Amino acid sequence: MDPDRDLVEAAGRGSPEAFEELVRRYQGAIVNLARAMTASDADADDLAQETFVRVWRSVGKFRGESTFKTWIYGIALNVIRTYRGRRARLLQIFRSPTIESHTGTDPLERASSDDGIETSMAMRDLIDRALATLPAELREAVVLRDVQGLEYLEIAAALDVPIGTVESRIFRARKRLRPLLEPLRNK
Amino acid sequence: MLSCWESESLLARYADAESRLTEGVRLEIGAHVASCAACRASLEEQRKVRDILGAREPSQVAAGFAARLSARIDREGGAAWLDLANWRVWSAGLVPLAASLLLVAYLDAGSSTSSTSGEPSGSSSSSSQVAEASNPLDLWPTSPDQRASVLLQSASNGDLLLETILTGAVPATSGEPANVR
Repeated sequence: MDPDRDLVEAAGRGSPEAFEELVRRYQGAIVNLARAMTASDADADDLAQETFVRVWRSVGKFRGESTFKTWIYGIALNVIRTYRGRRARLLQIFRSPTIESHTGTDPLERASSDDGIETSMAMRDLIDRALATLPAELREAVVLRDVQGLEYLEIAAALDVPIGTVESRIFRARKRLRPLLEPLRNK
Repeated sequence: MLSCWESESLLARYADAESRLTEGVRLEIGAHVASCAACRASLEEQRKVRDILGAREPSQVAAGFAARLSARIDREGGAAWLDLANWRVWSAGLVPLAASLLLVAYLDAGSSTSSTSGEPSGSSSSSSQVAEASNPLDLWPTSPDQRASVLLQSASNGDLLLETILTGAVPATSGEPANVR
């Protein structure tokens, strides 16, 4: 049973109030997902806005074959992938040293010396930079599980892959993250 | 006994104490981990990374997020766009039109039958005529003007329209607006 079903149906019939309630329910999760996937507050806000615009456009066509939760996560991931693809192409063209340094190979060392790790925000920044070093498919799986708290079956539905693939990606992602997160282990 | 390779593919879920792992699988992984130092270390690694990521402070939604979203949807003609994209909205709006067209088509068919039978037709409201008529539609006015008058006058009054069709009586024009009883 989808707990959002009534709201989704009402939003699909054009109810702005129902759509606003869906935004209230999911804005935190989608902004958080986008932040973890991009390591940028400004990008996270833009990508979350784009996600909800797409939801608004297509909620009338939602058939309830999955839950609304996995559906909106799927939309958000598509928006983020599109953004990342566009950004990668721009980086190839302009080769910006500033942007490259932001996603350099050793972000944690720089962050721990520059920002410190006393605050939770600094820790979040370190984690997101570590996540940024992962291939997209591993990052998506581990973020959905460990940052967003989705169940394995929900992740499989949102990514449209078998559950065994989800297990394998999460396992490999954590294995790669361990040395990068070493500075945070005793914090 | 599971191999390391088989065990690895399930270690992430085992580390998360996923309830969907069957008891049998859980026992097999437990037995393997107890006897394999490498997999035990791997399991510990999985748990530590999971705990660190789980302790990550969630990002806050920026102030005015919903207002900006609403403004953007309005700017893009959200409501009008949605109405066009959403068949449920616009098809519901066409129901009265479709019903009216079907009704007119049906009534036209009825009057054609009537005129070919050679029986007189008209706008009489006599109840005896209704009783005698084999088909109430035989009494439906043949004149397009009269039909239009009935349909337009009865457009907002379903009961009156139904009564008109069944009795063949054209409602008298009282000069009142059609939506006033």
